[in-house]
Amino acid sequence: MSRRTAPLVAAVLLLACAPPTARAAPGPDLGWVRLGHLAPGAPPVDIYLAAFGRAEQVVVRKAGYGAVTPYSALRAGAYTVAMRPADAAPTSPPALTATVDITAATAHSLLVFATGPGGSLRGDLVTDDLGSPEPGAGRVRVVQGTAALAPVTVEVGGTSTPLAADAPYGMTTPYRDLPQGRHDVVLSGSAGRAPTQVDVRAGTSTTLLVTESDGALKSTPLTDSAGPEVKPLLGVETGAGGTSTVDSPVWLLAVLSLLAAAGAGTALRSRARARG
Amino acid sequence: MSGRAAAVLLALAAVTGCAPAPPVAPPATAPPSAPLPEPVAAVRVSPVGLEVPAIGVLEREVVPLRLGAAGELEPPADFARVGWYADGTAPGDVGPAVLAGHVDSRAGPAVFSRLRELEPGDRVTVHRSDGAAAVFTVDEVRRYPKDAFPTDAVYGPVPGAALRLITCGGGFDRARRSYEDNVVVFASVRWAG
Repeated sequence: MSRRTAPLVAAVLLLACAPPTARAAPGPDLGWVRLGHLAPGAPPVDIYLAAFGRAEQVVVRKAGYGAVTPYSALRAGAYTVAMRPADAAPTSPPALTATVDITAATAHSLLVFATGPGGSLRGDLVTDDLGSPEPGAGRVRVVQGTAALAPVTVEVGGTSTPLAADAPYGMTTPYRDLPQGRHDVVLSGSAGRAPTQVDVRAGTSTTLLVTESDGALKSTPLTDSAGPEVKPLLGVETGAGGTSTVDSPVWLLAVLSLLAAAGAGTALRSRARARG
Repeated sequence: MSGRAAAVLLALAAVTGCAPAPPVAPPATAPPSAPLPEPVAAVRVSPVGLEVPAIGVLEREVVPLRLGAAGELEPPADFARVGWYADGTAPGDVGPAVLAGHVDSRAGPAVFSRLRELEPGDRVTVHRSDGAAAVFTVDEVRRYPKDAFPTDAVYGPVPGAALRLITCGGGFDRARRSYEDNVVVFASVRWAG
């Protein structure tokens, strides 16, 4: 390549990689978070959220034991979560604070257990699944939220390895792929068994939340993520050009200008040779 | 001559080199050996209306969209209608619900002609066949070359209720009668932030 064309190639590169048509991160700069109260003895709480350096806002009121919020998208960055007893003044000292660093294209559950020193509240930041399960399968895990009935074993009909084996209070199991369908599931704790059913949909991830209610085991399926079983490919042809003002594709223009410049370079050289 | 050709080739390679790698199918694994579980009851909720006040969109009908032979999402046949990828997520359910509409017809502006004007924070309301309304907040508006469409970012699993509004943008290739880019509006249901 001649020295004259090198800067042009660099210009083409810049053009082709310039925003907004191509960026490093393909999706929006957002992460996802949800919050859960899994401390059986603790009273209901109000939950406050603050972006780093911003004022707190109450986001959930009177969340009692077993409550888990839906996910909310948040712009990537650092946030502080504070929990106060329900209806306590926003200025009162929080029962628990946690700092959560939200990064793009991630999902987290901030789950509050009574697993701190002396049974005090402790927030666990659990990473949730955003991957695609195998085709035809969904993903399931267990969050063990009962202290009184621990340990808990969760077995899925037709499989040999339990989803959770003697899981202590506060434990989150890894995800496991299960074929799409309605699965028979049996929970067994220190006091009795609880049969239930869990619907697994292809392309989704599910948390089976285990809690205690009146001395019995209770399970609640929570959707961690979902997507279409079949993703469309390529783009979408959503225009016929009736309002278009820009005609040719950018790269073609760039290549044409490059050719023109190279041609001009040759012309200059041959003129110089003719003169010499 | 060969030097010039090399320069052009290099430029072309560099341009295509900027595009993200095409999606790769996950490796096949042995199917689970367990007996097949009972099928899950299908819940069919569909969108029946769309309001995007910031760009003057008020639709009282949403048409179903399917995939074409190449696996691509087929656009609405009617330039005045918004379509919904009906084998995907219902707007308001967890997952990326997808609505697509034309930016223009041959004659002039179509239903999503102003989609690119949306800004983060704008509201999008989708009315559902079960009577519920899902209210989304615009997170970002992006433009992608169609040949480097980020399938996973747009259609991949998400943890909350999300919406993608898609139309065309960028330069128009008159020979192929096709826009070079897609404009994608990312929106989500939020309780925080």
